[in-house]
Amino acid sequence: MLEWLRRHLYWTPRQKLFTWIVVSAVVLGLGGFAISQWNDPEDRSCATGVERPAGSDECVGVNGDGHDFRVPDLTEIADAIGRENATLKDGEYATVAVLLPLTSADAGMRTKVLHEIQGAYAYQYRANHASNSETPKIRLVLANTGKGNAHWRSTVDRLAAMTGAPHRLRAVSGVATSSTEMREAVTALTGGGIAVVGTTITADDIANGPGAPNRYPGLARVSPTNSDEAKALAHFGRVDAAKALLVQDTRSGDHYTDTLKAAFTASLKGAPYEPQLFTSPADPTEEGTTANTFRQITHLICDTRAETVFFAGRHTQLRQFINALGSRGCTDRAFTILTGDEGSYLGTDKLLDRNALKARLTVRYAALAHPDAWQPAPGRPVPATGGSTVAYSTFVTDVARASKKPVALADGQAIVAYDAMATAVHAIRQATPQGSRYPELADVVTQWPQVKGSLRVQGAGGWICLDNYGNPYNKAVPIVELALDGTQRFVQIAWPEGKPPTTACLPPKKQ
Amino acid sequence: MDRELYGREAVLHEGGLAARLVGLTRQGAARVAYEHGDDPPVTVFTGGRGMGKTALLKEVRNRYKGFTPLALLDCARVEPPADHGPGWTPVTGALAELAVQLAPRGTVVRAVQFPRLSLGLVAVASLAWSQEDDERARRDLQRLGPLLATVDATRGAATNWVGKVLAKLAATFAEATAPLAGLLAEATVETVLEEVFSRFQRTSESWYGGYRNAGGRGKAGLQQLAIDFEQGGERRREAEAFLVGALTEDLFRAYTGIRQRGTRIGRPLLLLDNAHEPVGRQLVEPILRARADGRRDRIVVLATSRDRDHQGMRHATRTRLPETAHRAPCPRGTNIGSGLLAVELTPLSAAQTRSVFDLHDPAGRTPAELSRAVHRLTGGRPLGVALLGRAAGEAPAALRATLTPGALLDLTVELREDSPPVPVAPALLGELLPVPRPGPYAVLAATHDEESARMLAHARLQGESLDGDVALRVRDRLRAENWPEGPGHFVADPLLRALLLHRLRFEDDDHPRYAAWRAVHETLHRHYGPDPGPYRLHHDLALGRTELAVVHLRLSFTGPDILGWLGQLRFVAAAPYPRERHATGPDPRRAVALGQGPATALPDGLDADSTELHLSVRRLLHAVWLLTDPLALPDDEVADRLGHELRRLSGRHLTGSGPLWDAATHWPRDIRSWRGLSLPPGSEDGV
Repeated sequence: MLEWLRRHLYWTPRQKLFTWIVVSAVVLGLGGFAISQWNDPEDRSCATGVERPAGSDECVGVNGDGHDFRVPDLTEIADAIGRENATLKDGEYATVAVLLPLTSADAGMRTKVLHEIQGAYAYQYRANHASNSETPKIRLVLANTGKGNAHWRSTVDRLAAMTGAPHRLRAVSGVATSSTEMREAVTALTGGGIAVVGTTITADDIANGPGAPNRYPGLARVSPTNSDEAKALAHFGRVDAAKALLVQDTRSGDHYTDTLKAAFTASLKGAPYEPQLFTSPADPTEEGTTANTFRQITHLICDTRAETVFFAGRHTQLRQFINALGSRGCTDRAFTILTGDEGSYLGTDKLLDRNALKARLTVRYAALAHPDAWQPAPGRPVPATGGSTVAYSTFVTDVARASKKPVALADGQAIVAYDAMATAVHAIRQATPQGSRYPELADVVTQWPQVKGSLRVQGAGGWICLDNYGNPYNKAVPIVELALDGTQRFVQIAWPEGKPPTTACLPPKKQ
Repeated sequence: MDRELYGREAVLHEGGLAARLVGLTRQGAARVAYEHGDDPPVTVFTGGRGMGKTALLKEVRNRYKGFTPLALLDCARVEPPADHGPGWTPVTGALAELAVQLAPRGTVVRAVQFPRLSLGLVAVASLAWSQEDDERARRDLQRLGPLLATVDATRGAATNWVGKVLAKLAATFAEATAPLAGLLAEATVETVLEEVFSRFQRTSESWYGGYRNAGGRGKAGLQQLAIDFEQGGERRREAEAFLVGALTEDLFRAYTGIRQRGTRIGRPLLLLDNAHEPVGRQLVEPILRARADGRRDRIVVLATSRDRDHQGMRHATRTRLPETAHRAPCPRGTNIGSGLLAVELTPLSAAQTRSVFDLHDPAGRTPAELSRAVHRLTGGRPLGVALLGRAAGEAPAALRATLTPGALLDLTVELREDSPPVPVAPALLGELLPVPRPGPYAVLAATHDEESARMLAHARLQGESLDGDVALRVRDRLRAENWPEGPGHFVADPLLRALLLHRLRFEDDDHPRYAAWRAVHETLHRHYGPDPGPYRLHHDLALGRTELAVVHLRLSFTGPDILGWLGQLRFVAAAPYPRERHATGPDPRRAVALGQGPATALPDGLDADSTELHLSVRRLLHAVWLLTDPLALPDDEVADRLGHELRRLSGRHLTGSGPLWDAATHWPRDIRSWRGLSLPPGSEDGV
């Protein structure tokens, strides 16, 4: 065989030359390929602007071409966004990014992310197709910060690099959680002069305020702050302080609980009972030993005459407390638990003892938005100001385009995202000078103080009138009640100021 | 499977002469540096009949066939085709044959095309065609088919071009009132060019522009070539030489040019057996002339010549085979013949003879001395060694243990599987002396010199001498075949002589009278009479009569010239032994030499001392006769006895004690070392 090969392929000089050329070409090709495989890092890119960071399989980055970040749930909506973006021509659009942990492993977070994107897309479509051809057109891109927002840095860097042509990133929406990483991300974005519209962040520390008016220059929020929520809850639950009791987490440093504590304490002045205390673990999502504490607190509550329990704590502890209260001794007495928007997590919490809700126990909490809030129903009139049914029905029309299947609205995320997008687009278009096709970056961030009065955003979840710190003023807070099946049932709209805003919707001068 | 060729390693081994010339070892296993650069000499292996020239060329062919273009042609056998036209000469026939052999693709070698040679031969073939005889034209053209097939395999092999050529010829005949060879040639060549040659090959025609008077026009050259060829004589020689040039040019072109360069390794091989024949010379000479003019065709020509002193090789570089094993320099001088390297083939050594016998008789059942004795008989002539070795291998098992060289000659040997075994001696004789009637040679082999041969021929070969003296004719023939001439024997070569004498004795199958043998020796015996001289006694022995010789030697022993006596003894004992065929048992001479034979009558009137001397001389004579007989196996015991007798005789001689003593020492030694018996230098052998 060898001899045959030699005689037919390696005999004459010409054959030798030819064989050498072929063999060396093959060897060089294979060798080069092997060396390149050996030396070069593997191709970690997922799509344009999206790649897998070292040590992770998530696709992290920014993309508006229809890439779904390898999350099957997002394929449809990412496709829709990609198609919408593809219709835009260079130079006539500004970009808005939706900054979310798209690849989160948590099922609840995934649902939330999907609904937020659907809401954002719904408004993008409206902005590009049903806003009287206002300019600029809006390009929507998805920005993934990864599971637990771990990779926010690279994504934010990428976003910061997109402010020039052709992207002209002018605002970042999304910003859905109140975690440390997200706060740093918002710090970095706003530090880079990019306008940020927070959707479901409620924590007071990701907000500007009288104490720190320029902590996040250019940050606006469409959700009420925790303080406003707490105030709204307090107004809603304006009960006899003598029949109210505060259960609070002693661990400080958690802004959510701290804010609730402060608001509840303020509204429970003169309560006969001192607050019942528990201490959550450093990571409030851990079970810890607080369940025992709550069993004792339950005993103490039965000893009081309280009917309303204000709970200032995270949802793991809230669930433990509800479970404990469900098996209380004094089941003949009815209790109502009032708490912040962490209550919304209970609906999907499998560890919640559903029977507790049957034991004359009502859990009410402040939601960010609710589909029933601005729909008139028998015996429940819609307030004349602070929101409108027209805006809501427009939203319903828009959001239907986001998916072939009906979009679930009950959790309110789509509504909030829609409103945030509306706010961002509003600011961008307000900042666009006459005769210009798109606004300067620096002009967008200065728009927030003017979003009030007649320049307010008619949000689907209620009017959005921003105060000078970019926080919504007297935003409608739907109070919902946890139903047995885990859904939230709309109860009533509460107002941080105690009553709906006036038609003018101008925040008063802060004291 | 390579044939085992003994003693030819200098040519055939990995770095041997053939490899250095061709540039490849056998079967192209490896490349070898060319020894002579781009000017390889025409190498001629010389040697007489049976020296293995043909076997060597065939072995070279077997080793390189399929790995480089190669052709083997026996120049003594260029057979004319039946009813050929004047376009066929031995040279053109040889050229066509060579081209057809060189052309085909082999195991690794690409096909070689011969467009130029084809054109030349087509032009030449068209001679003497006439309108009436288009059958001849058809035949001649079809005969060129294989050659044209080398140019284009499909179109050349298909014969429709023949018809087209004939049609064209018919037109030419019609136009030309007096058809000339040139015109016909041109028309034929034109048609062949159109029909068989591809566009690229058509340019090969222009090569003939270099022919005499062509002035660069190929058509004119071909026309002139045909005219010259038709003229005959020197002109035809010229044309033929140019056709040889066409062959080498085609071969050379197969190795050069953009399309060919690098597609072959090694060099093409032309093997010309019997190149001393006129055809061989006509083929080689144009190549040599072209090379002397500076042409570098890079063709390896290996030729053989029986005639060592062929006049064409007067300026050749001469060397002997073993010397070419590592280097074979052949400096080019100003002579045309300096491009020749004449390599004389050497006989086999005793060890190589031994190897041949071991090959045929691996079990070693033949006598240990046999191969050596055969070497003494044959002188290492490869054909003789090979044939006798084969005979020894095929000998009946019963005979093997007692084989002698003489007994081998009586055996039969199977030369080919498909034919019955042939007797060894006639077969060997037929190979060595291929004459139609070896009878006279056999008769004359018994003689000693030209004079006795002429006498014998006159006496015994009257019927043969119609056209002159038989003895001289035989002598000339032997000279022409390069057989050596030497003193003491008319046929000097021991093998040839032994074979001829074998024929003389056994040809008639005349047991027990051996009339022919007896008549010849009696005639010679008479011729050398009536005095009992050594020649006469020599023939006495050949006739089986020893007593006279013993008597004569006893009487002359007392003479003063003891060296002469020893010489006489040696000459007388060199007589051919009157063997019996298929005799078994030990040689009868052995018993006599050892004094064990049956008592034979002593001459009358001997005293005791003379009787002892007589018996001693008898033993001595038989011992020498046996030990120097090339057809017998020497015997250690007899050799010892020889020394013993000589030593005893040295004590009896008054003056010659010394030489006898020396002979007693040397002769057994000579016997054991397979030499002829030596006498002190300068002494006559007394004959």
